[in-house]
Amino acid sequence: MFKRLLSAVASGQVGNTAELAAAIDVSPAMVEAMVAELERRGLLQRAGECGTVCAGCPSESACDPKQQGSAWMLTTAGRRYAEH
Amino acid sequence: MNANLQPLAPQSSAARPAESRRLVIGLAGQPNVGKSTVFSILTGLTAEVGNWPGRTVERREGSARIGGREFHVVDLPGTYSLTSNSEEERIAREFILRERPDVIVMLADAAALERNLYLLAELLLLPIPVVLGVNMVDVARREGIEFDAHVLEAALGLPVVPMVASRNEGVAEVLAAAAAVADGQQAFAPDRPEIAAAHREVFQQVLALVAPAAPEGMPPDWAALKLLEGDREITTTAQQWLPAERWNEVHELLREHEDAVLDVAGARYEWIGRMVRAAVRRPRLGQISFTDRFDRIATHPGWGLALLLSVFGLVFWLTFSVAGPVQEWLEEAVVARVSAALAGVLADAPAWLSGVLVDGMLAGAGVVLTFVPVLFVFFIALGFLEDTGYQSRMAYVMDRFMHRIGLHGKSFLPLFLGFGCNVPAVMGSRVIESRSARLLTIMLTPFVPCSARLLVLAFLVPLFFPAYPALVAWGLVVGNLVVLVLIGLLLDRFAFRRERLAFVMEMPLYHVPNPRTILVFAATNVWTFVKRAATIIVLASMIIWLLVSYPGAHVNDSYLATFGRALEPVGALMGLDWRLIVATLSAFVAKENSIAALGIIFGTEGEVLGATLAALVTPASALAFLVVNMLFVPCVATVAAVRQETRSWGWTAASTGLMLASALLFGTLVYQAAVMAGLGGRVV
Repeated sequence: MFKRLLSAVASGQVGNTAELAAAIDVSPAMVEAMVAELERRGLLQRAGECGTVCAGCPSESACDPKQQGSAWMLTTAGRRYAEH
Repeated sequence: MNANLQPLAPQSSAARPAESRRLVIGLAGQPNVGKSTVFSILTGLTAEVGNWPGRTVERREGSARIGGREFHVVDLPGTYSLTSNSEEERIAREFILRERPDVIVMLADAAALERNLYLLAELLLLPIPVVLGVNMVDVARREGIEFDAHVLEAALGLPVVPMVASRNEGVAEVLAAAAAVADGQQAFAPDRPEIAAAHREVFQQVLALVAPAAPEGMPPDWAALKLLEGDREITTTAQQWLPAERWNEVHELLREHEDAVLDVAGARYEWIGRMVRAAVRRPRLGQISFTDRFDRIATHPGWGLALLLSVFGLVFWLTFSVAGPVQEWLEEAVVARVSAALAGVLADAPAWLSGVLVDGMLAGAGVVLTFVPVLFVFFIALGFLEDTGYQSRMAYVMDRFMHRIGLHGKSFLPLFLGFGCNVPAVMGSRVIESRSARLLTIMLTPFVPCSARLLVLAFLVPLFFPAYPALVAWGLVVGNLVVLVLIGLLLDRFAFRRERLAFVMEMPLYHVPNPRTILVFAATNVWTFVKRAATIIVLASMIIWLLVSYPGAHVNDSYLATFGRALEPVGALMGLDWRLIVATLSAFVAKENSIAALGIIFGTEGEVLGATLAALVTPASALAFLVVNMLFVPCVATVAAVRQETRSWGWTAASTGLMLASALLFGTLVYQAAVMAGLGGRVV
């Protein structure tokens, strides 16, 4: 299951959770749960945590992840498993 | 839900006769599932708080008496799983294995069962019966998620109790179910997750090696599974309790089957999928189906791009149509009058003081402040896009387009983060493992039109093109995106060809925007901008005024003119005279400075800035100036971020050089094309 998910991500053919769910034939909620698990295991890494770098920027609120969505990138370990 | 929830009655007379044995209940669950609420309801004033032996993690336990039956409840730390990733996870599993409670009551969030059942999958591997309390069913129902407790119970093979702990509903039932299981009055025959077929054989081999030596209390099959799963603590301790030669055999098997780590966890998710498939219904109507339907257009590589460009056009059209008249009124009725009044007050003051305040500070910051209505409408439009959930699609659809032309994921991170601000996009590149992919992201990011640049565009375009600002602004944004594509292709072709960035994105659902949220968003951003205008821009305005006023009597003899003229040979290619060159360079500190600089350098002398510029700058030069401003280094903060992330002055220079070269190249191309199209020559 995880391998299929990681391989689908690594293929670059899918980009969002809905497409990923269709690609590996599970519900989007399952994909979200698995992505969270893979993040905990260090195989995916969340991108776009602003931290304090946005402080003072006139468009600071444009970085609100709730509005912007979340994104994860494959880590080296994740890529290795995907190619295994 | 198909169960009637009853509030907990601590001494219910209707309860069945008391059993003599006190039951020990372990309360487990992932964080934020309402465990503390349930624990407080159950134990009330009997709760005691201490630390787990030898640990700093809090241990809470207390007594509950329901229907004459006494329970001792131990609140386990909130954990996502029972793998030894954290102190909390180690504590939870040690408690279960060593103290052996009679029953584990596991709480799950009804709206996130797929995520929560992972812990259940692990609990079922341990030799303690489990009862599942599905909490927050009211919240799930509000989100349109329905689950059938009987179906889930039948699938799992253990009691499932729907709960709304915040209203004390289902709490008594979950404890009653735990007692029934402990007393053998209710069946506990769980369907446990199985290991994937590919690794069953190796599991049996590891089990055969481990079983004779597993410490007391540790189930051998659990230990074998944890070893396959790569559990750090079990792997370390197994080296002590296994004879050396047997450990070597285990170690060799684990090395050969390294991929079993993921298969073990993957099999649990397959099990979760089976469990929830029949029991959980997620909404296909309303919000989600609208999101699905609209996303077919909004995230389509072709239609999505057309929609994105239309949205940009609409934002600019709205900004200029609604805010334009207010802005003109402010400029003529407020700033001009304040300027005249201040000049009157300072009539007897030294010329330099009057100059620096009226022609410097007020001319610069005043021009910027007249754009507050533009700013406000622009941020209202941006806030609307954010609050509806569309903004996250902007990056996605652009990336899909880039994907189509061969840039697989390479532009995603810059687009995802860079539309807001380039700085976090550059900083965000640190999640990318490969250095060359990271460098590609950093090089590409400053080409994404950040909101500050769009804002400056909203300022500048109506000054130069008052007749059709929306069209010009839209054309410039489209042009900027084209340059982004071209630079991406160029870097892909010559520098980072083998890199392919893989990502997964979770986009928020579309929803009806909240007017208050949008107003607060716009007001906050406008206020931040005004504060900026009151500090950096006012300071920059005064410095620029001093540099254009000294040493000569005329602006053409000033320090700034001398400096700008030295760059005029380059500027001439783009139709930019020294004034426009200096205005561009002033934007290096902050984009907004270019507007202040224009106000001071072009010395409006009572006329509105737009009229002065229209008389002095040809459309061809204006277009080139705007293109250069769009593509020029975004701001000093981005350059600093590039330096910080690359840790190399060489790459920082390369990034800045690339931006500069692109600005010069496209500025020149646009100018020459505009001249050929009859839009005028160089400024006289």
